[in-house]
Amino acid sequence: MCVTCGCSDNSQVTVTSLENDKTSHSHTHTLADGTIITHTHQHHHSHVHNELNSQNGKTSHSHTHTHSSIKTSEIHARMHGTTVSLEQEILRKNDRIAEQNRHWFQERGILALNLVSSPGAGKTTLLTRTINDLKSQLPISVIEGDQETVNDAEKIRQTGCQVVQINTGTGCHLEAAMVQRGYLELNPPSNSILAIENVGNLVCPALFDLGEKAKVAILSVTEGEDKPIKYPHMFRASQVMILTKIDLLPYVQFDVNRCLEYARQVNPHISIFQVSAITGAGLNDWYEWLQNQRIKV
Amino acid sequence: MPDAIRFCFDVCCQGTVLEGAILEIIEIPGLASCCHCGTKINLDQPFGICDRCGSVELKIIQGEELKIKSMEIDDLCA
Repeated sequence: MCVTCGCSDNSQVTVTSLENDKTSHSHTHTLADGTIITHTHQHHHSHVHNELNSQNGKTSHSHTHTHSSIKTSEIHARMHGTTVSLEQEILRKNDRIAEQNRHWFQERGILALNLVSSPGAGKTTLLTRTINDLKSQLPISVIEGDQETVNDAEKIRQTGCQVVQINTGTGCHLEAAMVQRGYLELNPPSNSILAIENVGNLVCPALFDLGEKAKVAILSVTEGEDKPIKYPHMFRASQVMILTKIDLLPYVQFDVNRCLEYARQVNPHISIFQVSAITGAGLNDWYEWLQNQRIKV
Repeated sequence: MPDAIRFCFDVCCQGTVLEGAILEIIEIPGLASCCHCGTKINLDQPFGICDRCGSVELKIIQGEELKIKSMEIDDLCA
């Protein structure tokens, strides 16, 4: 369960590959010794267990579907009559998988970006435009996160780029384990860009590291200019803010300068781009940033 | 956040050995240190302005903890 907003956990998460139209479900358990076990159940009924060894975080193997849950009596016996010091970070499980992801990306020179915004800010439109403009220069693949539908993945696929859709069901954000399943399915090429389009939500995704190089917060001029101070955790966690739909500025009440001031108040080092994915205004600066970051990976 | 955790905790505990367990949340007040002059600033949100030099470059040093500290277990074997 998401402790930020109380929405349910990833028990109903589905990953849909638009390459081979395969859907699978998975869930994760943490054993008493900290070992994380993720089960993947695919529709053709093979069962795969990936055991992530807590010692080295790397070992993985497959075996048949027999697992025993830890007996409550065992937990009881260990803890009986005492105060047990835990000192565990609540998000440690996610953070650990995020570190594995980061390592996987670094090994392959992949620039992974976590795109975050409110619903309707224009993430998908900006992404399709970016892919179309840059596809001759640099390969981009996409992990699409939404509660339901494969509509956004379909839009991305029309650009000719590789995409996998993750549906979180009732979940409000992507977690590192979902992204891990996504990129293993996608298998993006070395030295490429992996764009992870998070679920439209400026709250919980701020807390969940996916292993990305940077979070890119997208804010459209049809929203309130005070979003950066209303959702400060997200804008503080982001390295970049992209102000989209600037072609609509003549028709909306949006004070750009005030918005930039708020963003810099929350995060003095944030890089800001003002763009229109429709007219193409400002996109070159954003593309230049992407190219520079890719070189740095 | 504490309200959301309290709500989730009760729901998650139902039907488990933890049913009836009491959740105790220690809320730690927000505190930042100014990157320019080192002044300590109390914060209610994750940003602010230094009282002394007016800088917005603040390093949050306290109040973002999200940790399970310990569990107290009753003697259930008796």
